[in-house]
Amino acid sequence: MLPDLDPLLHTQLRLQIVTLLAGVEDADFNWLLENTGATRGNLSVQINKLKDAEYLTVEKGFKNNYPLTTCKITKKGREAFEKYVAAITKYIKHQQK
Amino acid sequence: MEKTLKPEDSLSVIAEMVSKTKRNLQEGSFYYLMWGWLALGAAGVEYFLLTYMKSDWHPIVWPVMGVLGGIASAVYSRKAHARQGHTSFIESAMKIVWMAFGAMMVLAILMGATQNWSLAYVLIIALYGMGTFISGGILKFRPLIYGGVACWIISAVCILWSSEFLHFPTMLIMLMISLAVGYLIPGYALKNSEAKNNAA
Repeated sequence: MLPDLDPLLHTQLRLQIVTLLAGVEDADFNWLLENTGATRGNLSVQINKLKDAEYLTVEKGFKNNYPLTTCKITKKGREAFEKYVAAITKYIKHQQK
Repeated sequence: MEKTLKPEDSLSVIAEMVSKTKRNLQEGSFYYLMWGWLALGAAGVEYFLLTYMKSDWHPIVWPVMGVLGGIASAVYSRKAHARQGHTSFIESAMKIVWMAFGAMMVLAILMGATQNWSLAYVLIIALYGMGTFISGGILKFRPLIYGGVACWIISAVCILWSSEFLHFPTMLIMLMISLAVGYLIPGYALKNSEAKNNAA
């Protein structure tokens, strides 16, 4: 039987965000914006959903008088991402049979 | 809008994002070149103070160099982080390595001030080697690994042929050679490599 896919990660933008954050220590909002190609509003909404699920931590601060939002993946988020990758791999293998 | 994915689309999204985090190579050569030239300058000034001025204040160059280099590194690191927009795992690991190096340098300088400066310099050369070797391993950049090994060889030469090398001002010349092979040559090699990676 195939495993369920985490609905929080099974959308393009949230998967992009979590994959990017899994590869770095932390990242700011503009870096995520640049690398995902999303709009500010949509990125902000999806980050908040991931934050509410405790997949990310979000720190808001200031740098040189400009607002700075820094995101970091949590242990729970990393585990969910690893589980998602394992599940997707199973799906692909199943399709190839 | 939330766009749901097919399994194969998920894999391509993951692969694309992973390649983006890999492409963001850090610009590490600045630190090797800045500290290399600064320490080489400090060693040169100390050699001059010791040989021509016969001054007992010759070790003063090192705290001065430490403060100048520390300020320059902090300013550069802040600007680089703001430009990059993220902190990589490599940067975090390197920060810890060089913090440990800084703490060991303070101990080596204490040893020099209270025991023996020549022996402290042997330790300092070996510490340069350690920092460069570990950095080379983390960055998977061979010239830094070779630079680290070269520093250890210079340090061993000073200990084994102590009557030839383990005294001032010869120790300063050995230190300058170790800075050239351990920092400057690998630093320029890293700079070339970064230029090629950024152009690709």
